[in-house]
Amino acid sequence: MLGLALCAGCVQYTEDGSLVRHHLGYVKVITPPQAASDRPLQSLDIETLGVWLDVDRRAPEQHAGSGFGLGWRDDRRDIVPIDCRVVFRVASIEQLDIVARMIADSGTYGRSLCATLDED
Amino acid sequence: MRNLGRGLIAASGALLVSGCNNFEHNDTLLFGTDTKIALDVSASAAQGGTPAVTIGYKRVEAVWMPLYANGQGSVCDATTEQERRGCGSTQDPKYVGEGSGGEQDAYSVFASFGSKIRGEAAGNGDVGIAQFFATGVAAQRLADNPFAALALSVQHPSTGAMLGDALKEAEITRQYELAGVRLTAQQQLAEKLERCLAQEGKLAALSSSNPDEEGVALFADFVKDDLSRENIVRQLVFFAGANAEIKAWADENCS
Repeated sequence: MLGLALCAGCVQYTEDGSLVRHHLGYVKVITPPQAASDRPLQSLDIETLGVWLDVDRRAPEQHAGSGFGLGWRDDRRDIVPIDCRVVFRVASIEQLDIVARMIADSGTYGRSLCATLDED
Repeated sequence: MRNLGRGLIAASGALLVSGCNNFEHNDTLLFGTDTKIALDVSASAAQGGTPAVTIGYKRVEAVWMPLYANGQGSVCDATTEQERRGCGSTQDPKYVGEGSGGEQDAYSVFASFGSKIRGEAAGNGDVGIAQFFATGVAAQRLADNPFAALALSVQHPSTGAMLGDALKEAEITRQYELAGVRLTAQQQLAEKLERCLAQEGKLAALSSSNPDEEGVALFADFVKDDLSRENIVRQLVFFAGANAEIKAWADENCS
């Protein structure tokens, strides 16, 4: 574990800096492309195998987010823009096919179909 | 990138910080999944700051979404037309959906398929565990589709097996009585189409019969490699919205 702790790490802040998360070990971070403001769906994924430490920097009486963990953790956030009404996350091409047919069948969900691909 | 920033702000508010009612209105919907297989000791806002110990598997899913119409900070308050892109008028607020009965509801829907499990021993390949979160008028329309629930909950993602199960379900259960009635009519149409589309040039004629109707073109595309009656019925079920056009074409072009 010491080896894992030394090989990688990153720090994640909340917007106001009140909570800091330290990741130690194998850390994989998937971020949206930099110039992606017009993309229909953006995903942020932080996967950790190792240790994480959440430090809440607010006053003690306001503490709500501190903690630590050891093991595997996957923290994923999908940001869906204003025009998306229905989002499906599918696990396979077959499921994508089924959803596409369902959308085509309904005739009520609009004619635009956008897709983003997860790294597997 | 601005959306990402807004989303992260929203995520922080939803997941990590107390006093959420002070947050500015946000135009993005954010869906977060936090999965752990770990020894974890933490105190979350959702638990009122009480420490919790997890040994093993824990999964938390949370949604942060705009629930009220045109609130402070919404794009609908913007001054330029470009910034207001996608926003309805004040008489037609962006975040309010309206059902067929005139009822109003929150606008957003999120639906997801979750885990993928490989079942090698059973020889069944991948198995998907369906998860979805839904609200608003779009959810009502999903619910109106008798096959949506099956498509979202079925265990085997194999299309053929899935549709076969759906059709059997439609025939034998009271819940899908309406679909069963439709199925009878579709079987009669499928019988006609099976004979007709096997003739040279008929499939291409159907595909190009109404280029403005995507459902007809998709239907023709999905049956082109398998013109069996069973497959045609399956596709008719899924392209029910285009059935009227397909039937009209068959009445006109098939004897």
